Amino acid sequence: MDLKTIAIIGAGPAGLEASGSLARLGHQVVLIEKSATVGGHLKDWYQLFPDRRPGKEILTQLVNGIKHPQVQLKVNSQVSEMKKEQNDFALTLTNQEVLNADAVLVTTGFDMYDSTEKEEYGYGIYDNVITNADLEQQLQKGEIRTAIGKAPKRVAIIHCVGSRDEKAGNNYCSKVCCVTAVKQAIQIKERLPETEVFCFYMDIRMFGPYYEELYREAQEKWGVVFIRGKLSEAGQNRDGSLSIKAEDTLAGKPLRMDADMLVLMAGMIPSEGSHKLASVLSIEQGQNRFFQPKDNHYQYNQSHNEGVFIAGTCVAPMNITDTIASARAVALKIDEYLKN
Amino acid sequence: MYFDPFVLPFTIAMALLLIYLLGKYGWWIWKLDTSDQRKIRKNFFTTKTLLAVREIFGEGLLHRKIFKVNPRLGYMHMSLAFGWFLLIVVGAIEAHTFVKGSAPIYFPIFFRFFVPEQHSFFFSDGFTQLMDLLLLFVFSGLFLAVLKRFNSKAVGMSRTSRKKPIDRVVLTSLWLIFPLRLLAESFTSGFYHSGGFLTGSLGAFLDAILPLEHLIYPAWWAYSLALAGFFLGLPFTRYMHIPTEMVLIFFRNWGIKLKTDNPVLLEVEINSCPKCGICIDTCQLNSMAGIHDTQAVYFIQKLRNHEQYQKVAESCLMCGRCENVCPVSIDLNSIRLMHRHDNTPKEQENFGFIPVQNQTTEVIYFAGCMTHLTPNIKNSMVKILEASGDKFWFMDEEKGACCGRPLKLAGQLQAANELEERNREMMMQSGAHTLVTSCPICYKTFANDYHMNMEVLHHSEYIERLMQQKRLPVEKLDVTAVFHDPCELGRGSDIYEQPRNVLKSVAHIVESPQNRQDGLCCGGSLAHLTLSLDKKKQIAKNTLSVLTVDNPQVIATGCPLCKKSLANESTTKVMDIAELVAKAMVAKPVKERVVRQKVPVYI
Amino acid sequence: MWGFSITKTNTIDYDKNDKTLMAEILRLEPSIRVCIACGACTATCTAGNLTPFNIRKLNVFLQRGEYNEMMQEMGKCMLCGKCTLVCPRGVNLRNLMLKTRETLMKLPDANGLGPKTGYQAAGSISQEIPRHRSGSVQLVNFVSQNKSLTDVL
Repeated sequence: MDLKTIAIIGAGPAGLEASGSLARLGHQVVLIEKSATVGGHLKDWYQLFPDRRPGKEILTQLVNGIKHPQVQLKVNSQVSEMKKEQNDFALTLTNQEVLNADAVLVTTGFDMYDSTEKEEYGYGIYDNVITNADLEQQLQKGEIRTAIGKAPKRVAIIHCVGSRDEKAGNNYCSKVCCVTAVKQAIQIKERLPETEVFCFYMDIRMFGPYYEELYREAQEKWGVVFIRGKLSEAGQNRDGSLSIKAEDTLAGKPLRMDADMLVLMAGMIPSEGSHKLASVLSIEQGQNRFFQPKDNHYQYNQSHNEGVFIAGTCVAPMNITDTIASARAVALKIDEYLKN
Repeated sequence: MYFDPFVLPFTIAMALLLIYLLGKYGWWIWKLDTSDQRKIRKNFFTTKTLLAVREIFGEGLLHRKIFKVNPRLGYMHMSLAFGWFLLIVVGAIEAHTFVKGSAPIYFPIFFRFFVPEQHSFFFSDGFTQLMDLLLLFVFSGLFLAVLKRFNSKAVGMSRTSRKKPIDRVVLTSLWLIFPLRLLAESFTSGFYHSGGFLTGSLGAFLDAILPLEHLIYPAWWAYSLALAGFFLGLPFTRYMHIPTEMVLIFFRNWGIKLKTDNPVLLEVEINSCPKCGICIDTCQLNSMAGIHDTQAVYFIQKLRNHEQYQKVAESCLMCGRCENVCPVSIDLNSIRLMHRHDNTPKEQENFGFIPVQNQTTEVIYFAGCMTHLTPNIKNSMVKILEASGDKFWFMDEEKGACCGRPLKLAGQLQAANELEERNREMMMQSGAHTLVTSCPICYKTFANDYHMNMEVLHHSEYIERLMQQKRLPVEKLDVTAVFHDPCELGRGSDIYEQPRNVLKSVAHIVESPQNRQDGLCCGGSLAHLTLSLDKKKQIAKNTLSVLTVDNPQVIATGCPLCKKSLANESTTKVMDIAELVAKAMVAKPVKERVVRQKVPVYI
Repeated sequence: MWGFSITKTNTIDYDKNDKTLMAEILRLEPSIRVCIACGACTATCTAGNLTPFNIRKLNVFLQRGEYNEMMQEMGKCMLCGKCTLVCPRGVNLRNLMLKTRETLMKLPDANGLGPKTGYQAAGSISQEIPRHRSGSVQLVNFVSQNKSLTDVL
């Protein structure tokens, strides 16, 4: 039996894990990545929830997984065209190279919601409004500081930025921001024990194992205060601190306070690459603009175009654990498909 | 003339102590309010005084109560107390038999010094041997006492109370008294070739190796000083309990009770605490929750030393286990409760929102707040009441208020009074002759504080009566059940047999190794204001392991709070006796069943 | 700065509110930190069943430094303990209520003078504590005003 080739588009966690799995199942894999490095957003995460292990650890394992003779990595490459003939896929890359594959896997992941769109929150306008990704960078570098280099005395974390929001065009929940908020709240408290940390939330969605316990730890051990209320707007005071307006819905009254720093929990949106590939690969996008699986339960990794598979956060927001599981699942499915 | 300067330390110290005690006790009696003073006058020359003397003998000397709890400890306390008492009494008889007339007060104590040779008088030899035997008796207890200091487990106590420096000094003084007496008597006996089997033989032995002639006098001085040290230090230490205990026993037998505006009896009680430490071992906070600093002995210590007691006052399950074993029968629960702070918002109507329900009935059923969280109990009770044929009113079915006891247990007397007044009015207006409640906490307050013109029954009593009157036919269920005595029902209200009688009719009853007065607390106590959920669970788990030692199929109880606390941690099913009875009920023919009245509520 | 002595807006002005009392109550009963305001306490509340007494709300206010509402309402609590029994997070609400009363009593009145007279501890009451049945003593309480009884002698 001749060797089958799978083209995997996107070398984030899903793409990396799927590559490794498929190679170990005995297939040829061509892993295509548009940027210069592999790893996707995982490169940007300092510590993962719930146990705070370094993101680098997982990245290393995933990268080691593709150090396999049957995996060919092509960075700085994108797919511009695809022709399907019977069971053969001919992909044209941006450097005009044509790749032939027996199956295609799309793992193009997500982009962060652009918080500048939410002008009333002041991202990009006020210096001390940052996103969860920005904060993760600060944590990576070691210290949390305001724009003028001081340690903030009060940090307000805002949940659901760009998610569950008609005005942002995203009705869905990005799933992982709540637990990220709790994790980051604890991380702030660890570095700055005297700093007050407030989380302004709509709901607290602790969906995974030990997430609820993390929430409790934030309240009990670290004194993080959770206020149920969506931020309506943020303004800036003369001294550079931010003034916040939200309703304390549980008290039934509007609330205002000043904070030194605002951290916006920007949600996940389908990546730019995903949008482009939707038409190139003739796969459907759902109403939430993520790729639409063939069905929601049993064929969750298959697109409507036979032979084209989908996995990871280009399908729906998910955490690293579920992304890796999704990648392994689709590898199995592709393997079955290739064996007919 | 029998005198020597060495008797002075003892005599002066004893005189000072007696003056102090008379002064203090006189002051207390003077401070009593008039009704209590009248009680003393009335009862002084009655049998009550004799009963008090008997109790002093039985508890103060023989320590019978301690024997019941811990025989080794009982022997230790008894040998020291009773032994010393007998030494004094027999010694006095011996001395007065010898002298055949009057002698100074210190004469019997130092008899051997003043009469060192072997004399022959009535029973003289017998006295000598008896005194030696009594001294040996005391020594056996002293040995245990010293052992207890270093290894409390040797006398069966896992923990013993902590000591302050002054305690240690006076304790040392006390412990030295008897060895010094032995030495002094032995030296004298050795030198004069007298003495009994103990002092004589020891004396003879020492005579051979020591220059006794020069040691006799210093020994007696040391003995006198040790006695003086003890007497002078007594008022400042726990040994105050020795005389004060007697005052307490007299007061109690004369009918003097704890009052909230007259603190004399409270003073007497807290000064009667011997710090024996028995309350520590028996406390479940100690044995099951790792809490070692809130037990009764420490609370009383705080009160005596005028220290901050608020926190410790709040940290007690008030299960009554310590009160049950206290050898001096101090009212530990009441004292604990008396010291909880009342911060009821003053001069305002707090409970005006409680709707007035007008209803006439014969029997009121009050489920209680907690029972609403265990609906099986109230549903079973309704079923039983319907079958009873009594006209009943389920008072707190929809619009009920709390009975008021949780407020009391938290120290909020003002608020409790206001709440109880409202409930009482409604209950009295209903014309009911009986009030039945399925919660022992409610039961205690209805029975003791509400002072209503009606019979108050715990549901176990009511069901027992129905069964006795053959108004509730039941068929025994094929299930083994152990009965868990709720603290408020058992030790709190002395209701032990009624629920068991009920249980016997509906199930095969087995007894827990610790039951009735010795029963364990479920941990759910409303009286411990600050206990964390984790510790409550620990206590519940431990209690369950004792209850289920014989693997019963069901744990039966008579309190909704016990049920909830135990059920949360139990793999064995926990059921209220009402539930078991309802299950065991034999259906009556339809026409005999009484349809329950719907309750009209007028606000 | 007592936020309630001047005309107050409807807003919770978090920074203007005096949080020392809140901090004290939190210190006395730290389990309130894990409250998720699910409302089970209010739902089961004996007083809440009969009158608009919302313990969830009052506790939220407390943690924002708003004491007015709690001070007006706290007398309604019968301390029955049902709230503590149903709380999914294990908050000791009963003790919280008790400590809240104790702490809020220290608030001065509208003129900024002395403890608010309406919330002083009630005076002592003369009550005898009878023995119940065969010797076990019933429990009646006593108001001690922070002084040991032995001080009286």
